[in-house]
Amino acid sequence: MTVLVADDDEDLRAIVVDALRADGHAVTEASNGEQLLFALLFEEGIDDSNRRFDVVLSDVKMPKLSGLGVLAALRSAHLHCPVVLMTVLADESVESVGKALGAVGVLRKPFRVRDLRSALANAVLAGAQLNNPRRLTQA
Amino acid sequence: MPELQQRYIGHRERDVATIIAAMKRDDFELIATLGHNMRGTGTSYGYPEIGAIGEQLEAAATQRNAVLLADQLESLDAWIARARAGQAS
Repeated sequence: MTVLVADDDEDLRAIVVDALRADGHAVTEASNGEQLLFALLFEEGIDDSNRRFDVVLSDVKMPKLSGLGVLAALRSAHLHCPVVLMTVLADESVESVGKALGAVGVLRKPFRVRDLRSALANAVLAGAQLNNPRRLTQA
Repeated sequence: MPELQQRYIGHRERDVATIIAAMKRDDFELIATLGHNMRGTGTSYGYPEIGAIGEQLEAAATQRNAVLLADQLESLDAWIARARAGQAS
């Protein structure tokens, strides 16, 4: 599976990336929302020969553009991709707003590797219900 | 994982210096961010105590409470010493 991980905290990214790679996944990193959006909008490409991200794991509170901002931008662009938000924030509104904007799950920090694996598996299942589950597509 | 943990401990040492410098210039926002990040990562690295220290740091910085910040800085410093000795949780 190809996973895009976005978080401004390098320690968080490191442990997530380490766990995912140990499980055999291909991982790309982004350190802020702008990088994440750029990767999704431009590096994905528009044909099947280009690299695809099966799942996106994104922090909520990031510099330049928040995870919610990224979701809103994807929604505006009519692009669909399974996005799991990662957040320390206890505010339930983050979860409800995130899901309203299209997030398929919310992973509460701090989390353990087993929680990460579970969130990833759920995202894949949720992604299967999107129009095209394995890549971003124009709606 | 041990390598990641060593790096994590090293980053907390770096945080101590960053927090001291930030306190000198009243940059509470930066301290709150560092605390927020510790809160989100401590348990993932097997150090729940760091999560608690991070939470307190974030709260103290949000309140601009220098006394509480100093207390938490001391706790962080003590945690690093224990971590280096392989005795931290």
